[in-house]
Amino acid sequence: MAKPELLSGTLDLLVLQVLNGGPLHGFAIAERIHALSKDVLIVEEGSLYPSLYRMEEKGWIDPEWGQSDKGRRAKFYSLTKEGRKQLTAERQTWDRIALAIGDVLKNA
Amino acid sequence: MKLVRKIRFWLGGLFCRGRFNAEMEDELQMHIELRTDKNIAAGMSPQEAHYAALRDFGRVDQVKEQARDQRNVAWVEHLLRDLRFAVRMIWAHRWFSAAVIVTLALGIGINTTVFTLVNAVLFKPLPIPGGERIVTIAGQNLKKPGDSTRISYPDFREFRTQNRTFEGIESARLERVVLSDRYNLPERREVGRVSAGMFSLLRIPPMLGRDFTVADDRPGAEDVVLLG
Repeated sequence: MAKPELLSGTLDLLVLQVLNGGPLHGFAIAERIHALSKDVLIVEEGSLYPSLYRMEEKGWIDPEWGQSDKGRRAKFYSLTKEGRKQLTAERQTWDRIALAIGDVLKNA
Repeated sequence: MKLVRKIRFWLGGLFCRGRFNAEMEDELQMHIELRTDKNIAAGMSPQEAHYAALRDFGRVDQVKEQARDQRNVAWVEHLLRDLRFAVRMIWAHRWFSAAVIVTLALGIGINTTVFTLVNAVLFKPLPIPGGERIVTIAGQNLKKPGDSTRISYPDFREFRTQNRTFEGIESARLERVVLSDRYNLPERREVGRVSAGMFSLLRIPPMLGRDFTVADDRPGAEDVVLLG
């Protein structure tokens, strides 16, 4: 089976959702998404970091340097208030789209 | 709050470029190390694990480049490069550049001078209190529009008696005269003949002596002069 690619625009949603559980560094974000999708979704680093920097600029996430569990210096991202608002909005949009696509597939 | 964050982000990108790049380097480096650890845990040899991690990551430089562009730093760097190039080219063609600069300087200088004059003479109100309310009344020949004519003295008096529009109407006429007396050389002078109320209308009292009075306007009255 071909490696499923993330729909464009859904990466931000997934990252925001994963960060909703608490601050994580980049690698952990990718791992968490991978694990939560039962190893189906693979987050490409080449899109993850640009996405993180973009959301940082928009003020949705806030980076902070800290210690990872293995004692390494790592940059942890956490959701801001705007990020939480954005997450809610994007979830609603996603739910509507998923429902709509489902309807089309079922009824066509 | 949002704006402050944005500005901080940009300024950070501009002035702390070194730190920003170093931090990004650290972050991506750590990612690769963690991936390597994970590969080793999955049973790869350390070397193999490292290469696999690098391969998975893809083009690190591209990510960095993209992030730098996002920081809106790129356009500043490009601008500086363009500026340096411009200065070099100006220097390389210095005689041509000098000619262009002189031409521009002359053009701008002459325009500024002319405008300053025109502005002072035509557009700005007279530099006295209420100067913007002072107008000139002129006659116009309807068959030759655009040609303005002066008002005759009888018309002026007629206008003044029927005036309800203006605070006051006074007449003036500029002339050139030659002043001479027995002991001095004749001199050419600019004079104005004005109706008696002119200076009280303009609210400019004479510094010495008296202003014109209504009596001075009567036929046969003695000549009265105010020196400016």
